[in-house]
Amino acid sequence: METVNQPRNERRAVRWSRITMVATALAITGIGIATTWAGHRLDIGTLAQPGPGLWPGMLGIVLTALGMWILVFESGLRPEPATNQSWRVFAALGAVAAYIGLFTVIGPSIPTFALVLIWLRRLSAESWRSSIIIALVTTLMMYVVFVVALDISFPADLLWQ
Amino acid sequence: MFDSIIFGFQVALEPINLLYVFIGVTLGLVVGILPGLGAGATIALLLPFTYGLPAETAIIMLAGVFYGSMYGGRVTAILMRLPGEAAAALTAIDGYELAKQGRAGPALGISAFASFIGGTVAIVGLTFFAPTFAGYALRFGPAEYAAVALLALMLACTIGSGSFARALAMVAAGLLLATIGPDPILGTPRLTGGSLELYSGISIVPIAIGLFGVAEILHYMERSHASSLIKSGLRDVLPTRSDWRQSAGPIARGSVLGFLIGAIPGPGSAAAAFSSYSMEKRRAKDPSRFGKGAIEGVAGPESADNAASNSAFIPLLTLGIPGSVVLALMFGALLLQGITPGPQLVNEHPDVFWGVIASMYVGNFILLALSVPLSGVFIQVLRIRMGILGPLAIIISLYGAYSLRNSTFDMWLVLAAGLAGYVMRKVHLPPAPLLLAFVVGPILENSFRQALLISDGDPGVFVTRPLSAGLLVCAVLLIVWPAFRRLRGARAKLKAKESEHQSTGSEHEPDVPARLG
Repeated sequence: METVNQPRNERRAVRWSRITMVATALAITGIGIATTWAGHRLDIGTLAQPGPGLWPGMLGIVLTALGMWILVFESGLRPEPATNQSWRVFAALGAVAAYIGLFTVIGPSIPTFALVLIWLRRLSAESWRSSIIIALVTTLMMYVVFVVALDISFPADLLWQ
Repeated sequence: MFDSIIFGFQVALEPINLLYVFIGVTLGLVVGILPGLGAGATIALLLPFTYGLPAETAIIMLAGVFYGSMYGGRVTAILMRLPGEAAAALTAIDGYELAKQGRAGPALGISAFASFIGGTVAIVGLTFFAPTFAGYALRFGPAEYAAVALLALMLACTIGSGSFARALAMVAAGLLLATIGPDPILGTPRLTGGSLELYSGISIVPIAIGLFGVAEILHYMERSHASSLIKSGLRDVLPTRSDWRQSAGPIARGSVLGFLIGAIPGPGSAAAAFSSYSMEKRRAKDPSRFGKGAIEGVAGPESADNAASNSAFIPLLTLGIPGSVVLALMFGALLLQGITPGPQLVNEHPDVFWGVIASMYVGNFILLALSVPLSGVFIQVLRIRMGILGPLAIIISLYGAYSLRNSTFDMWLVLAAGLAGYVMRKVHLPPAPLLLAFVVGPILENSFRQALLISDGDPGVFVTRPLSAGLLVCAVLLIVWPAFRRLRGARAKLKAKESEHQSTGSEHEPDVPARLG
């Protein structure tokens, strides 16, 4: 069964590689075009009197040209493959996004404790005991270093404000 | 000249600077040993904290982290064949073989000593060469400055192992990011999209933390490392007399080679290490020993890359042009202090200039004293699992980014940069040229526009002035040469495909090589 599906899987992998690389090249080209347009909008000025848009305009042209070169010559490159552990990356990114959102609303301490605890338990497979201890210590240390020692003002914290 | 050196040592030996060089060097050693967080990410994390320190103390500490991490990278390279960074890759070859033979002790010892000699030679060169060069650089006009900055960026594109076009695209992206914010001459807001937070531009700190620190942690989470410490006991602990004898030549040659290569912005310590390795291999009476535990393969590259990492300060301190990511971050640290590095630094801020140079002697000495006896302790440090270090580093990153200007926007930037760094790595877009270009961008644009303003719009000013013309020719060659080879290769393949198509009548996908140029 495996060997019958293998050529199909390989072809699918090759197709996805190609799509990824073409998308990358198109993204670069797209950003280049957008930048050139933004530079034009900002007023390119003349060579004797450069306007604010001259430099972005030049960069935009360079990016567009490079994007097209990469599209033509480098779409056959193989991207680094995703592994069966790749979900961790997106889980981590999602967790950090939630963290920053909460941080803004309820201050640093609770989100810090929660993030460290959840990360250590779910993503690093540590025991409950180690996770709780490390999360507590981390939250405390961040408080001591940033709030007490460095005297930085944070959003109103539920625990200590 | 000697008054300046003595003045420098007076600065470097002040108690606060001694304390901070010790902190920096120890941090660097630990960071160099631990996988994941490199010198770049650590220095980026420390940037917000340097704001409250005096300028020379800040740079002294950050420089200490830098060359400390180079030392630290050796430990994992020799003991686990895991280079801490690119420059240690060669030490990992012969060093690991020596460790397998039970000779990890001598390998570590020679490596520490070679680094010390290499670093000292470079610092001596720096002491004598830098002020002269700064004096010469004062005569640079804006056209020359723009040309040098451009050349530095082009050189940075050549050092990676991937495609030149991709590196160039990242340079353009970095220059673009640097454009966000107020126009430097006219003040108009550019590329801010009406956002208030972007109005004053983007700080290097969240970009660096995200692109190098967070992205590295994310990448690590995806892989599982199967690495084990050497199980065989340490047969010898100290290098033997024949080790010293064999290493003397490579150390001497490596130091000078490293000094020269490091002084050019771009190539960096990895290039110095590789050059030294190939030089020693070619000079050796029995080249087949290399790769199987030749002590010269450790001594030469070690002294070369430490020499290069010290001499890399020359373009930063004299021209104000950083040659690598780490130096770009030091540049950022100086900017946070309100100091713009350039040829005038030696005159306007002699305490920073000479204090940093003198402190490098001190730091190198501390490293030698620390690394030999403490190697055993550091091996224990390796036991901290990356699974614990990852979230801690992320938390520190986020707090640090926030504390820059009490803004959660910078935390979002860290997240975005981390995601970007992860994706970029997947599609082979190198992050280092982006960061370099981000830092060099304002220099390049300002010089470019000033040159045009002075010449009243005549773009010929860049080629009529001899120095500027020469530098530009080099820069253009660096771009054109790989493109030319690529086109020629594509044409040859097209011809081959045509003739094959005629003879076999079959079609298949053209094979695109993974390397360009």
